[in-house]
Amino acid sequence: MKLLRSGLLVGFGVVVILPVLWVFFSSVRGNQEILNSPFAVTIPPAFDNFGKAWGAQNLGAAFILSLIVTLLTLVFLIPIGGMMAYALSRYQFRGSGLILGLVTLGMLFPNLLAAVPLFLMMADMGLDDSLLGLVMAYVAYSLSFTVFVLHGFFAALPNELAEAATIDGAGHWSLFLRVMVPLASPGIWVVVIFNVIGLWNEYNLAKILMLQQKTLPVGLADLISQQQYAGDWGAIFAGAVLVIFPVMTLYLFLKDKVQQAMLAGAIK
Amino acid sequence: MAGQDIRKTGFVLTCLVPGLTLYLWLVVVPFIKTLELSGYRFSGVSTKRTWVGFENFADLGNREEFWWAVRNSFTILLVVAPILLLMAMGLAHLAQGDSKGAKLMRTIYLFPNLISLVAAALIWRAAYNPSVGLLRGIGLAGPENGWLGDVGTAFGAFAVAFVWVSLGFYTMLYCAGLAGIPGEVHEACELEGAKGWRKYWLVTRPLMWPVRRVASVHVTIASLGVFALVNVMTEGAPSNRTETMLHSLYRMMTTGGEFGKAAAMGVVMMVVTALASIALWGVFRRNPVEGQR
Amino acid sequence: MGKLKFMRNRSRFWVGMGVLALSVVGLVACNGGGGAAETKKETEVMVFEGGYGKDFYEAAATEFNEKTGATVVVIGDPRIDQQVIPRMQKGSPPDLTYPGWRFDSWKAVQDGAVEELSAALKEPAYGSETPWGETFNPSLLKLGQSEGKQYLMPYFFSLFGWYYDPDLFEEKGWTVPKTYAELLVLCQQIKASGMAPITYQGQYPDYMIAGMLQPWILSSGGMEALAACQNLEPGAWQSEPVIRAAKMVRELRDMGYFQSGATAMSHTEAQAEFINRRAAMIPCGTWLYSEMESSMPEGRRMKFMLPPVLTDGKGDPTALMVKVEPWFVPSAAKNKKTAIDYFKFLTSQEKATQFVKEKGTFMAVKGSTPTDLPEHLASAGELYDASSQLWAAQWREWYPDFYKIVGDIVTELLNGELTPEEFGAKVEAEAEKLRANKNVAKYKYSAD
Repeated sequence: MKLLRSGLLVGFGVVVILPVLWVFFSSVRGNQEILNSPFAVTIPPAFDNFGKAWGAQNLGAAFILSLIVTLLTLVFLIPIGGMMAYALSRYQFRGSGLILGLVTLGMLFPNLLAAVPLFLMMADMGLDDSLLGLVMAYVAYSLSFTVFVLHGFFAALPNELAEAATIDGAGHWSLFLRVMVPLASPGIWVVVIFNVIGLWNEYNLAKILMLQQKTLPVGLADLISQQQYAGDWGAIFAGAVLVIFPVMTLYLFLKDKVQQAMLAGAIK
Repeated sequence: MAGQDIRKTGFVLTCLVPGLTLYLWLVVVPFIKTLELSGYRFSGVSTKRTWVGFENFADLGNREEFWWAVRNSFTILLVVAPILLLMAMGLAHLAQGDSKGAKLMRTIYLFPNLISLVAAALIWRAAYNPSVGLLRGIGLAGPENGWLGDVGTAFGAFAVAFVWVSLGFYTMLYCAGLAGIPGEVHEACELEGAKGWRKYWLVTRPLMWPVRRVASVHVTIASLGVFALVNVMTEGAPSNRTETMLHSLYRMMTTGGEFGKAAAMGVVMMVVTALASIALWGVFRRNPVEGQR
Repeated sequence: MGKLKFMRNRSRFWVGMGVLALSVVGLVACNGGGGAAETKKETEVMVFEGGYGKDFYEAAATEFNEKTGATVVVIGDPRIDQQVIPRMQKGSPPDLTYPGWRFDSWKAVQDGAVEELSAALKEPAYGSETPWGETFNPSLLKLGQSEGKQYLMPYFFSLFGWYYDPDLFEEKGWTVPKTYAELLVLCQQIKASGMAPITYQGQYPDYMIAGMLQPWILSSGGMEALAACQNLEPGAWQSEPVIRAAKMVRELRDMGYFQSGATAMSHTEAQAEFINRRAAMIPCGTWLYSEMESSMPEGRRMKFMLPPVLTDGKGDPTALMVKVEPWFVPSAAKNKKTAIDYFKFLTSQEKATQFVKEKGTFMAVKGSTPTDLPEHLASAGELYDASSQLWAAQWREWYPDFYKIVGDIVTELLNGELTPEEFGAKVEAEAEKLRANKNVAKYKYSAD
């Protein structure tokens, strides 16, 4: 019974990880070798696939753009989302429930449903194919999750501390920044990690809004479908590794935090 | 007193205004505009917009592509997703506990959920490819046209990739739920002699209610939101067998030159999403365990 | 003390927010300002940056500007359609555009957003006395007309047929099939040698429609049969020639002459199979070589051939499919005159000849016939010169929805889901729906 259990567990583990390992192995093999046999190990490894993917196929530029977009979005998103969540959770006023409902409703609907008008609006403002436009859209569409999670964290903070700080003469801002934000830092961790992963991988909005400048997922998708890059499997696999690797590193180092972040939206 | 009130109001407003402005402007307004656009005949390649009421919806209904998209999206929601949740529940029962091995396995299971859907789609596209394919390499060459090329197997092949991406997340969710069941409950079960399926149905399942609710909401959103996986793996080929509603919307917008119909598709999806949410709310309205939410 | 600290923090926060807000406003302003300035006096040309790049148009613009004092600016991108679309929607389009194959140009014509160029065609061509319209190959010029009015303009064009590897054929002792009967024999030989006889770009059924279905409708029933299909004549899509063509496709499939798994392949995947000698033949256009050049094995050759024809059919055995990607002047353009002059310059004898030389392709301008073309094009060029029937698949541009649906039905045929008769009936039913749809403008194809 125990053996069966372990067998099943490991079996599933292999099914899950094998395709990923296969891509990693294949990313250092030449195109011809991949076509000739899907499995053999190539010696010496063909690291030039990465050079090709990074340079000739422009994934280097995409990598850097993705990095900038992810960081820039966070810089705006966390303060904006944090303030919203805080105000909605710690202050009673008419309409606060409505606002929270409206904002969290955004998690329900796929963002592509708004794609047609969003694209037209961005184009109207000259913000299509611009870093700023994409970051603005990312902040707006990441607010739902961010506010929802942080709202939960702020609401769970004990009232006594807030009262004590207020008696000490702290104003609204100082209470928020000096007392509540540090207390809610586990929640901030959660939204930062969740958003970093989500934004790094984001495809839908980038695909619609960015034309010449491509983020890494869009660049990778184009490798498969666009003509200039024609069927060079080695470079395509190398591109996939470029996308996977940063997230994998993050996961290796912050395993528990990542798992907690993935759970947080669900179970507070 | 008044000064304090003003300061408080000022603070709340400052906190809310930037986020709310962005949200209303870039999320809410486009959603409303989608409703409006769906009533126009609008190719997207000129300024010309003609008000046509429900014509776009009628046109959608006339297309086989639309019905395949609906059929596939609903199959994902009503067949694939329940299978996925069952698998995750089973796996969670096996993988619970604090042993190193179980922890490692849970870590591995979650991994596909963290990587870009584009990368996941690419992995499976390559794995199914009859020339470089992983599956051919292990003796699963599949039908004559390949797993993704055969009209009979393409959807199943896609569903496997969908499950591969999602399984770890729901397993983790259920594991967390199982871990949250207090030790006394297990002890009580032992005393009462409840074991196996009986214990699951009578004790575990009701106690897992909040987690099951969360998982159902998540899987509904994920099922109706399938886009990137299809876009990179198949673009809906062969012959619409892997077309989904969201991907069909994207296709009409970018290659069909039919912004009005794409918007109509968006409205259909909004309605479907809303109905699914109401249905879920109905199912999970009351917690069977007294006194818990 | 504590209070002071709080105050300082607070002001720092506000300064930070202020800087952020200012930078956002600044960036928006820059963006908007830049956009507005562009549209004022420059003549904007937006071109699709495909296999032939954009450098030629840019260099030509520089030359044109020096000669005429105009300010033509060329903007090129592989997804230029996505930039043309919002501009067309706003009513501030570029002055001239070649938006690429993804753009639905006929829908723009239908919406009245494309300038009619019939009058310009009567004016003299650049640096010549001849009317501009007479400098084009008439059968290619005709492809941009609707009810006798010229909307879309041709520039370079491609030929569509099949490709094979002459070294491989020689090595194995195979001969290039001219007839369908010869094709069947050859496929059997190739299959026996362990190679797949034919591969195709199954994810995009377009290639099968262009490379097999249409040529075989034409071969079986003559140009009238194919024109009837393009014109959506009642019953045309389940006429005898269509059923015959579907039977041929289905036969090759049933005999196992198509590469297994091809239905799921993208164009580049299938083409990679071909250049890596895992399949002997592939339907494709004359862009194949340049499309695959970067991943071509050393010394690989390829030659163009006509799709093998029926010996008992009504069609012209030399019939050859041409593909044109249109240019047009949007009717809301600000600088139409300069735009037309620039396009006249691009299509002048001198520039056309230069384009052919630099890019190695075929040109819609008369007398720019290429010399010393590379083999993969020369083989197509010979067939072009020898052809007495050029044709185009205009229904693809006229009715993109219907075309996509036919592609889906072709995929079902290739999967063995449909018999040839069912195929015909299913396409005809869709054609009937389209005929009944009054919102879609109908066009008429006339054979030469």
